[in-house]
Amino acid sequence: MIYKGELAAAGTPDQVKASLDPHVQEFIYAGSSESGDPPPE
Amino acid sequence: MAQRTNLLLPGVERWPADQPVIELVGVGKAYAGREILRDVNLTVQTGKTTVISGESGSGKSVLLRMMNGLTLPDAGTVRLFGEDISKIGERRRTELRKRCTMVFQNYALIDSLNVAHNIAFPLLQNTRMKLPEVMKLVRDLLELLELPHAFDRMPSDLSGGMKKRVALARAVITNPEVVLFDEPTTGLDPVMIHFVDQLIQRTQREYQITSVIVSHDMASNRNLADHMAILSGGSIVEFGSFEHIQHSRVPAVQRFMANAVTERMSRVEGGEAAGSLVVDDGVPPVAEVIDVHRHFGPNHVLKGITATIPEKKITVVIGGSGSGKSVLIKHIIGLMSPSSGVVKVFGQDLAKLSGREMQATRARIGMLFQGAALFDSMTVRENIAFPLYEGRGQRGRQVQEAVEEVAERLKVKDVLGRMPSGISNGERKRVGLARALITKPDIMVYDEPTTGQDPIMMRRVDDMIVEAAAAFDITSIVISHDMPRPSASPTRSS
Repeated sequence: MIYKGELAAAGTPDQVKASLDPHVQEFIYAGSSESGDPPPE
Repeated sequence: MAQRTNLLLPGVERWPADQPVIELVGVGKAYAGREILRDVNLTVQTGKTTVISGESGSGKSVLLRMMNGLTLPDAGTVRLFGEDISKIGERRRTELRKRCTMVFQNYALIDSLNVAHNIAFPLLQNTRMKLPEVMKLVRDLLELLELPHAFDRMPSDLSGGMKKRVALARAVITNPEVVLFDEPTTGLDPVMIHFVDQLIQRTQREYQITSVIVSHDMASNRNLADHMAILSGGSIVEFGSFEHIQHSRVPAVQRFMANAVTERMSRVEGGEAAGSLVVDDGVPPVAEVIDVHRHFGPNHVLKGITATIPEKKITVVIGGSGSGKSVLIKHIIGLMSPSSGVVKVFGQDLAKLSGREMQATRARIGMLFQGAALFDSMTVRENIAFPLYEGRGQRGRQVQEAVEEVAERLKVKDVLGRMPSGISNGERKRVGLARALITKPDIMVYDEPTTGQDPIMMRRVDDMIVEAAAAFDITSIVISHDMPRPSASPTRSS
């Protein structure tokens, strides 16, 4: 997964889903019941 | 909350909450002899959100355009604010459209006007309101939509999500009673989809709007819909709450829902630190990027990326709009050079290749673009043969045999004699893939292959990628702004 030009996570889908990188978490779980507030843009 | 007054029609009272604002009775529509809608009956309740969903080509957008008289029915009746839109003149329909605006899928912003004047446009064109008064309303809306900094920016400087919000602001600034949304989240990444969903709900409450939304994003629909209608084959085959649709016994609805992602992902327990980003899974890399930076003027778009693409695996590159994922892939296929760092493909440093060597390297990489990009004036057979004819100068039986073989493996042999306009969306994707695979590439790159597709089509495209990877024994790179779905069985994402 790329976030703002940087490699934020890499691996199998399960490894990426388990990443602790907050941007990865936000990207993957946006809209789920546990997601935090969205960014302004 | 005080009732809002339509700024374009200040003397008109709002439609009563206890009466349906839009009613369709026995509606039919055909284009060039092809029936698009058949005996459609639908009631839109005032103050509620009605979502229309269904497969691509089922007539959703035509139905939406009928609701405010942009398209008229061939049969049946469409009543908007109690008036039969077929029995009134265009002038009256224009009046009704001031109470029922639309947010178009492609935003329809005016490129020569900045954000503020795009939003203000309906008021500046149709009222005598003073500029400062209008701009106060624009600022309030930009605040609500969390875009205050975009006031004087041009549409060309905005991301897709920002354009959606500007289009939404323009649709509601006049205080309409109904807003029609055509695919409001298509093309957005998951973070932005969630955000736009929230803004639609916030705007609905604040501006007291009845919404009709055409969308096949079922995770969004679950959040937004008071009522849902499922279109299939031009007719509404199911209507009710999201839960009712989920448990429908109608086969077409069950098929649609079986392929739909109805919830965003749930978090998994635990997790690991994102320390080791370079994956060593024992598979030799077919491509490597090592500390790659790329600048475009003052913009630092790639910031020291180091990653590998393993041979004969499916690698999905995900990221939000503007994250740099497409730029990264353009480096791997040799369309861009890094500002610094190394890109190696098939073991060769691309910076050290001659023009001819680079051409030979690119010839080993196939691309499938979003729209399949077929030549409409050529038959399917000619489209598939094109790279061999034009790129390699091959002719005769050898080419025809290659076309037949690849068409057979991708299940498009039956349509070889047809024109692209005469085949389905799914077939277009397969024909585009056949055209890329006929040159026997070692790497196949898919650029956002499922963007804008309905759930059934998404599943088919996912399956097509997996099948092609196995059947042609190739390395696959998929650029996406969504996490891989389980059906796609990707081997890794990065």
